[in-house]
Amino acid sequence: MKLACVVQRYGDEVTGGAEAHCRAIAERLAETHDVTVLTSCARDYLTWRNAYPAGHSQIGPVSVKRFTVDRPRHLHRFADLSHEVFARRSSLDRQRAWFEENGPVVPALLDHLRTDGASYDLVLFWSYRYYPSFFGLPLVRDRAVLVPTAEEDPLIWLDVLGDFFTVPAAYVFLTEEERALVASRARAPLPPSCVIGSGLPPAALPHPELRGQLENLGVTFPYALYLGRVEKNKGCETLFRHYQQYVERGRPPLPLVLAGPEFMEVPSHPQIRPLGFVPEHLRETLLGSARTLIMPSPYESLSLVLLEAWNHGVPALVNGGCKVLKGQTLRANGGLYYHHANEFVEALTLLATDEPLSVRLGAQGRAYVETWYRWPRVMATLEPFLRSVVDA
Amino acid sequence: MTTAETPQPIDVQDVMAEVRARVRADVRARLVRSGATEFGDEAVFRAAEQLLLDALTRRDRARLLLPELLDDEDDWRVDPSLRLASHRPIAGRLIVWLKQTVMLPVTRWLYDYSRENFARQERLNFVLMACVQQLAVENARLAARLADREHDGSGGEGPA
Repeated sequence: MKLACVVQRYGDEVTGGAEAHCRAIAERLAETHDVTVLTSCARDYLTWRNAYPAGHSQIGPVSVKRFTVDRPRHLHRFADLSHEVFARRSSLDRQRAWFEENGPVVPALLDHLRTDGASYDLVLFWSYRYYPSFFGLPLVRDRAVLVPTAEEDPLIWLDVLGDFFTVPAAYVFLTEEERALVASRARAPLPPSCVIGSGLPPAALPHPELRGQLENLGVTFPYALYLGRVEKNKGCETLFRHYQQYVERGRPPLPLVLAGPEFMEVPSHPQIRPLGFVPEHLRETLLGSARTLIMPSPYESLSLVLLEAWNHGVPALVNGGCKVLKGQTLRANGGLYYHHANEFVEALTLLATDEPLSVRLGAQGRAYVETWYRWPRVMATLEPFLRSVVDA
Repeated sequence: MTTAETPQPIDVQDVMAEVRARVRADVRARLVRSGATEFGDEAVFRAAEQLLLDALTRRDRARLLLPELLDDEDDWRVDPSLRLASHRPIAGRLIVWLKQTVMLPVTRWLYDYSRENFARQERLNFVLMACVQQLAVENARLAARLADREHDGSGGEGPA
């Protein structure tokens, strides 16, 4: 098959869940198919400033074609438009304007789809929320496969999406909850779809010798871990409030270790230990040695960090308000969840004090990952599905 | 020779039921201590809790009846967004441009602060509307049941 993968950013330095998912899938598809990634020249997801040269390049087995971003994102204008569109009833034109303002604005990529789109058997689009997918997908609708990476955030309720979600020829979802969410928003029954999640290699064995390095960073054992960008949108503000209640109520000591870049102020608290960015080898040991991983994010389409924790046999404590996180946790029987501070305190107390329970929940999580989230299984679902869409 | 027994899988729902039971007991005791004596009756507490939990699942604007009965939505909804406009046909563009490029950057900190609080207030408004709606629904159901009883009252069994 000749396949195109459309994604907002792509490259070695690019981080981000959808981008990483696209890259992992593109590289695996490229083992047996002709795969071209169509993307922007941007590296930074806030400004979309051009950072890579436009044109063709080769990254591993994948051919990459980059298009110049016409203008960087105007952050204040974008914030104001977001509040206007999400807070109130807004016109369809204003909603479409939001997708343009969200960027990255790459009209040349759309031109490419108009002129050369028919040369691909399928065009896979990642993340409906960005300009390339929202405006590009309708141009090749008969061969478009959307990987929406949809979350239950305010964006999903925009009226303009009711019709948009009926446009693709097929869908690839990350979880059953995501499929149900998109189906609930589409004005017509969804086209064929599959749920693939993502793949993980078996976890590397923990390196006990690195525990000394962690101790040098101020980590004491046991601890609860938050792994990822420390920011409000990820639920960290609520996490800090809940955790402070845990401490104030005199529950068993279980320091909260934060590993990830900080985009908000972290409270100065003797039990909260922010480490900032942690190198890969320490990250694995940090994850593998945690008593529990805490996932406070209210919006997720699939939590890779959660799967990584289970891959290490570490149980999770997740935000039950996020259907995806709760659904994953229930299916895996790999942790506990909370809806408010009281449940957070009780659940964390249980994980802190009942080590056998924590160990067993973690083991159940690992078995779940072993069954559903290894790459051979993911690709064995995806490839026949894509073939069936082409043949249909 | 003995074979090691495989432990039964742990069902997260069971563990969560325990967690919720502890939370419920703790919250109820705290409320009773604070003077909400009607929650001394556990059944009352459970029923009230369930009713409010049901309400919380219906807090979306699209599921609420009260907003449909209120006057023009623009008159009562909290509006956290700022739309700069002018009625002046020619000078208006300049005024809007000045507001956007000069005034707004200077006062943005205040705008961002108040916008966040407005957004919180709007969320709370919808939660309260959902609670009122849930109570209204329960009340309507009870009224209907009572009416049925009264209707059947002549032939129905009296209290033992």
